Amino acid sequence: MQPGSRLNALDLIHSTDHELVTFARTGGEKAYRELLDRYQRPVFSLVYRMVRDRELAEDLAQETFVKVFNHLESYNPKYKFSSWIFKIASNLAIDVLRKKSLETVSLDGSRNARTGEEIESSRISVASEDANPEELLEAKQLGAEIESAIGQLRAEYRTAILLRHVEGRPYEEIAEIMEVPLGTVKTYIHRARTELRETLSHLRVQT
Amino acid sequence: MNIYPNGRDHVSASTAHLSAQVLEQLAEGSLPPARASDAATHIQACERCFAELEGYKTLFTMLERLPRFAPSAAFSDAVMARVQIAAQESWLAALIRRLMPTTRRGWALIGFVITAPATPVLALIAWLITQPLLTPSTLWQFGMIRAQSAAQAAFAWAAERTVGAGFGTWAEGSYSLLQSLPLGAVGAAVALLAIAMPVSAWGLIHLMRTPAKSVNYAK
Repeated sequence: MQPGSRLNALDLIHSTDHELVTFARTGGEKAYRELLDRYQRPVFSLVYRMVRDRELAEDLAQETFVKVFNHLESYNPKYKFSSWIFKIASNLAIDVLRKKSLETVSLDGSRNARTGEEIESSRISVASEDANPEELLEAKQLGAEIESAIGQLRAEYRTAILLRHVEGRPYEEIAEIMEVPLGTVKTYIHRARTELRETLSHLRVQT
Repeated sequence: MNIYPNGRDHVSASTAHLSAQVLEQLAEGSLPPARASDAATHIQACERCFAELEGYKTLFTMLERLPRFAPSAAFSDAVMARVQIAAQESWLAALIRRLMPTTRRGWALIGFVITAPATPVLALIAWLITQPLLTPSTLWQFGMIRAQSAAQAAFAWAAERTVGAGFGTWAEGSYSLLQSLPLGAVGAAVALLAIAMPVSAWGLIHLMRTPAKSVNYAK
């Protein structure tokens, strides 16, 4: 892709993150939109699972993109764009968790939730669209149990396990995102898995 | 399959069983092949380790099946409303920017490309200057005479083709005027042009590289 050239949607879809950043730096609004399309779900999901409050998660995800897009000049192409954006998102989420002492959340949703309505809105709901009512209910219950177990993890463990298993990031990239040594990441993930197995030990799941 | 198929027992501390780290690596396929082969042999014979391995695999499957949540429909526009986007760069400016070196090595290469052809010419001039019969003033006169005859030939050639349009007469007048000017003034004008051209080219490139105006999506 040549910066400054006219690009169609197909070019953008096939461009690497680095190419999109280069094009965005030269004023290509479509490149910003493509980056937004690529990362809005992963970033929002990570932040939502961290803070477990949809409105707050949306604000934090928005803040992440604004920070990234308004500082594209400082992006170092030596690192992956995904590492950079996840690093900003997880730092913002962890800061909020520390400030609001949300690290351990209620099984039913946000610890901040006081009214029944707030508890309901902060509960993470998981549902598959192509399941029959029985399967849907089972999947929903199972999903809720897993989300709840993740919610009980320490913020650092939660970030590491979500990046590893939901986002499929390699250990090295997680170390880069969390700015901790590789060994620490492995420890976080091992402990998170152990805690999750303990919490979910009562479940019977079809693989 | 149960996360703990044999109840809530942990892996035994006994060295007879595989460690949790090995089982995790095996479950996610990151154990080196030689160790994976040994571990697989052990698992075939050990019910407990097999159950533990299945427990990890089940956990990983459950986590990988977790959906990605979508933000609200207004999310993209809300982000873009707060983003400062630089004005679109012209194709010429983008081309020049791409051609400009960004590293020391690039600048060194450009320097070499520019100076390499000039070096033999400068060497020739230096050699000529060192010759006893040639002085800088005779060289200058020689150059000017050659330049004048080349210019005369060019004007004559152009006048032949443009006489019908009246341009030939104008050019002839201009050339006569130039001839009447002192040699020093012509030299000074040429030197001035030689300085002004790269300076204006640099200014132009600088202007093209600077975004004219930012587009603010904030309302």
